Amino acid sequence: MSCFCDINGLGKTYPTPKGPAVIVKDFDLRIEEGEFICLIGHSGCGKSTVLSMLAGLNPITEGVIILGGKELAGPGPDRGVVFQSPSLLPWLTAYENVMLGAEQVYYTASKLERHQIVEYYLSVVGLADAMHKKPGELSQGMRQRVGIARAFALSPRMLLLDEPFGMLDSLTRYELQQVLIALWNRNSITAVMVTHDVDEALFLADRIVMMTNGPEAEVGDILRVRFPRPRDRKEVLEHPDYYPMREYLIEYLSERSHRRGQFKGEVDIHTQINVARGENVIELMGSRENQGNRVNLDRQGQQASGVISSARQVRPGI
Amino acid sequence: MNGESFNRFLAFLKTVRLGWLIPFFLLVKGEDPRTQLRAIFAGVVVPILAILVFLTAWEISSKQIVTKFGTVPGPRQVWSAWESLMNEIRMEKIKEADHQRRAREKRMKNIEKYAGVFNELPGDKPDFGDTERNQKALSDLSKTFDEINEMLEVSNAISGVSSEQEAQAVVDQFQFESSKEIAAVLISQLLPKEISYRMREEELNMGERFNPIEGDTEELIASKESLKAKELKLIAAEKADLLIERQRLTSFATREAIDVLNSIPSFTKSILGKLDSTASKVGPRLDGWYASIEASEIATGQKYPNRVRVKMLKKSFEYKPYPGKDTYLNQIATSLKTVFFGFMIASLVAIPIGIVCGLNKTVNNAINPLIQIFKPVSPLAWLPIVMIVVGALYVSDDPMFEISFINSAITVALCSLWPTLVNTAVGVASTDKDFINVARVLKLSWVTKITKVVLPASLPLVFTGLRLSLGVGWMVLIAAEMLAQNPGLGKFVWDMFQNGSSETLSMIMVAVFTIGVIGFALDTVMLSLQQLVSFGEAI
Repeated sequence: MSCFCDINGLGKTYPTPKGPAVIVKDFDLRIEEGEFICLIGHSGCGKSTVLSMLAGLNPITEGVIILGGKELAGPGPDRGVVFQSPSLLPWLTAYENVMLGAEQVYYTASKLERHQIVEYYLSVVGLADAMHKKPGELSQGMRQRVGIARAFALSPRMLLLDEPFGMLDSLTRYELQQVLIALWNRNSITAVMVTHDVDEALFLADRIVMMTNGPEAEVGDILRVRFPRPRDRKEVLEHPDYYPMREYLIEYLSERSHRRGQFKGEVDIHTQINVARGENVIELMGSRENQGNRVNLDRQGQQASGVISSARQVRPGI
Repeated sequence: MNGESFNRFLAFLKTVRLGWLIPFFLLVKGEDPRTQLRAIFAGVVVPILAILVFLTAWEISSKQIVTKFGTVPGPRQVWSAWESLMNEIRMEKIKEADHQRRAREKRMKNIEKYAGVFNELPGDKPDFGDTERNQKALSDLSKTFDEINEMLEVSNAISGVSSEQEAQAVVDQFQFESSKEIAAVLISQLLPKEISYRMREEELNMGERFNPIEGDTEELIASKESLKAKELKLIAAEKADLLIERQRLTSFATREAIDVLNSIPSFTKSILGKLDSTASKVGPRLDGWYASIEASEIATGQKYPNRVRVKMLKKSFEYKPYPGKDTYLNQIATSLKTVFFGFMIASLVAIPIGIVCGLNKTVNNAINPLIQIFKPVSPLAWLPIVMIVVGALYVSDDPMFEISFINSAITVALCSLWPTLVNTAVGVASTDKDFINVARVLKLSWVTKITKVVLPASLPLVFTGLRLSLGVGWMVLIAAEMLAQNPGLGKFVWDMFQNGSSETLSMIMVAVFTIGVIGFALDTVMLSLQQLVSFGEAI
């Protein structure tokens, strides 16, 4: 698969009275076409900042994002965004909210065609009966369905989801994950989703990008999820890899603290990496066959070894 | 009514400031009576008590102050002034109907007199219906007006009556039973008070109790004088009461007269209506015909034999509106029109500028000092400038609006545009960031962004501004009208102040209450609109 989106050395610095605050630094990620990426990390680590830079809503201070061969500049309807709060315009009905975007994208289409597109997406997300209600009359879950429909109705090249289910109760969340994945299966749009729900990430993603704690957050580790698609929740839960992966993620989130290392270079399968005490992060960039393998770190000692076919960047501490 | 719509109805009551009615509805619906009665006590009884306390204090204290126009009017005098204003409106209505009747009679007479001319009228001869029936309807109408006019004279006729005999003579002089009845009622209510007042006054002027006679000691004279001064105050109060009573009875007579006017049979009305509608079609035809006659006379040099008759006929068909004077309601209407016109100008200027200010910080910084400087300027300072500038620019032989109207409206606009401007700017600037992001992601055009996202989001604040503006405008209007001589409430107050009669103060107080009530009503309307456009928090 080709590289669809290349995020290179992305950084975000905010000027503050106490000097510049570096939120994100040297964030590198290559996303392939049709891939579903989940960004996971502690709250405040800069996941949403990365996403909003991808959406073009937040100016990039350092680095570059190349999308489909072009450098990204500003927001646009080629990237559908689902916000954490649905951000529907409360004075418009669900239908009108979706139509607002559709009118921008399909300006050459006839009125009827646009109507059909909007109606199609709203019914796919299960709102056929509530199409002409105002957001105020809809439940939180239904509003987010409208938000999803609005993003998909743009037929974007890339879908950006910023903790879209963060405000929902777990039952509604499961339902909406199902809705999202069903829509995604049909269209296979490249998607980047920010979440801090480990199960959600495992259920949806092809790769889970774990971010280090901010400030100066970057890519900490990448976990490849190889559950077969289309996925069924039960099958995923019963998969033998599920719990180890889940444990790994949780362990990552709860225990590890990360700092930037300075090592750059190719790594062999049995590369040994020196890691200073208490500093122990490695980003895996293995070949497809070996992706998902983990570097085993010796927490006590100062050495770590991993089973990696190749690595673009391995960053131990000094 | 089901539960949901009932609740919506209650919410509606709350928005239009009728929330105090809610406990009554809940009581009828069978909710806990104790809670509801307590709510009624708090929401209805307490305010009414407060109003009563206010009225009593007013009544008592007003009697203490004697100005050059008599005592300061109490609530009853103000009410009677209000009644006299309403009476004026009734009188105008009657006079207008009378004016119409005269025009009809004159026209009918001419139609019969110059019937031959109609046969020469180009095109079809107009059909005025059955002449006899028309005549009958007109004479019925005439008789009704005789009765009405007599009724209106009743209160004048009895104003000097001071004894039973005189009263009888007055009653006898009337021709219609209805007038006699009214006169009798008025006399029975007024006469005892009139007599008692006269007796007291005579006693004051002549009686030994108050006036020194020969042989009085100096001490006695002094005490008589102080007694006289006290009695003088009491008599002044009694005279004020008598005036109130007379006013009440006069409006009773006019109300009866209006009843008679309204009781004209619908049959008569429909005949006259047909006559009027035919006349309104014939009038222009006669005009055209007369013009062509004149033209052909000039062209051919030959005199048309019936020219003068046609002219007479044409004249009786000309529409002459009743040249009535401005009643209180007209003045209120003028004021409302002025304030709305000014308010509209203000909104049309303030909302766009506010939007631009809200969207662009630089523009906001540029304009802000100007706003802060002009905001506190009084209408009294603006008005002369406006008068001079408008006087120079608004020159027209046949102006669409009176110049005084334009002056007041623009002054209102200048004073009332600031709250809308500031609030619109704040509303636009504080549009929810999520909404702006949506607009950016969808790459909405500038116009769509404004109309679909920014404006709806800031509408609640815009309406808060509009509401404040209308309040300011209404307050400023009175001052502006006073000085610009725009025929509204402000001019009414000014005129009353200038003509200085015993009614001056009470009339001005009526105006004060009118201004207050209308201001309150306008605010309620704006408040309801404001709540209608509020969507609550961002979703």
